[in-house]
Amino acid sequence: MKQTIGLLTKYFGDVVEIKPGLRDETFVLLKDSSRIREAMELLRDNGFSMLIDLTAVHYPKREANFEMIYNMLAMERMLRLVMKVPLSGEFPEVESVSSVFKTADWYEREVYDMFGVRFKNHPNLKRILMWESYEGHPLRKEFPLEGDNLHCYD
Amino acid sequence: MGIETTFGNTVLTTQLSKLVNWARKYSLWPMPFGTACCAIEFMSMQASHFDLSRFGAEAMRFSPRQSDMMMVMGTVTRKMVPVLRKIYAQMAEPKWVIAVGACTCSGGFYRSYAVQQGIDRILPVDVYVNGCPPRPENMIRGVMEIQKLVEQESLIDRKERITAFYEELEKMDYETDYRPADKILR
Repeated sequence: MKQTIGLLTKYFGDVVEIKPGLRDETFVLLKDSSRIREAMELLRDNGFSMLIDLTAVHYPKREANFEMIYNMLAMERMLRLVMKVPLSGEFPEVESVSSVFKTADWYEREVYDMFGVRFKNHPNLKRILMWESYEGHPLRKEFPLEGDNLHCYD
Repeated sequence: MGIETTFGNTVLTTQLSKLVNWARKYSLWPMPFGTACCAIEFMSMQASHFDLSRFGAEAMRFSPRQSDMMMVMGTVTRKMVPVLRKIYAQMAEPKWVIAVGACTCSGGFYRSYAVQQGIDRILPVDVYVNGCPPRPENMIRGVMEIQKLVEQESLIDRKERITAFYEELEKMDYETDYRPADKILR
């Protein structure tokens, strides 16, 4: 893990902030969202060969109101790393990592569907869970709990 | 006085609707629309221990065109709504609907954007069965309530009731304060 942290600080300098996690994982806060693809490539080439999960959180009260979360696993060394990328704006945009990890394709579609985060250079960015004519992004905090009760896939 | 005086006990005078309703009451063919755990309880209800065939409703038909009692059992998601509507439309009149279980009646504990909050917003439900999932006895009680309904209600009344249901459905105000800002890219 020290090796990976060394690499990250070497290439990204002040842009990354490293914190110990709750269990064995390491939290990496990447402050510059435009460099996410670069960071993922670096991690992939240095043992973190698996993207376990990719999701987002909506924090309506924060200035950076969205946070992307990338859960990584180094299978040979059994190391876990959580990369967090704060984003701001109503419909924030971030570089797609689907060219680095193929699995990110559907995960990013889900994040787009549920949170409205846009992904640059995504091969097929459309809704994956809700139907295509659906309006709004259900996992945002301002979204009504029961939806609008009016629309169903028809 | 009546026809009985001439023919004795060999005939029975009644109203046609009563005779038809009596026959219908004991020949309900259920169409199981099972989407969740209530359907497992339904299997138990239909099998030999609880034995739905005691009520003349043992002939399961998985084709809506051959059945006249739809039992909606389980969580109906928003994506499932058009399927449910279509299946209901494919059933021939007379048809009845039982909403079995909490999810079907009200959305249950799925108070969520993805789950239809009660199918009575899309279909005219005749009987609600509570429980999560309901006991097979409770489902049988639901079928018995349908039998009562079939016995009492003439089809003309029923038609009026269903027309009234759809009229009310159109008037229902679904508006929420929520207006999605994102209309550019869906």
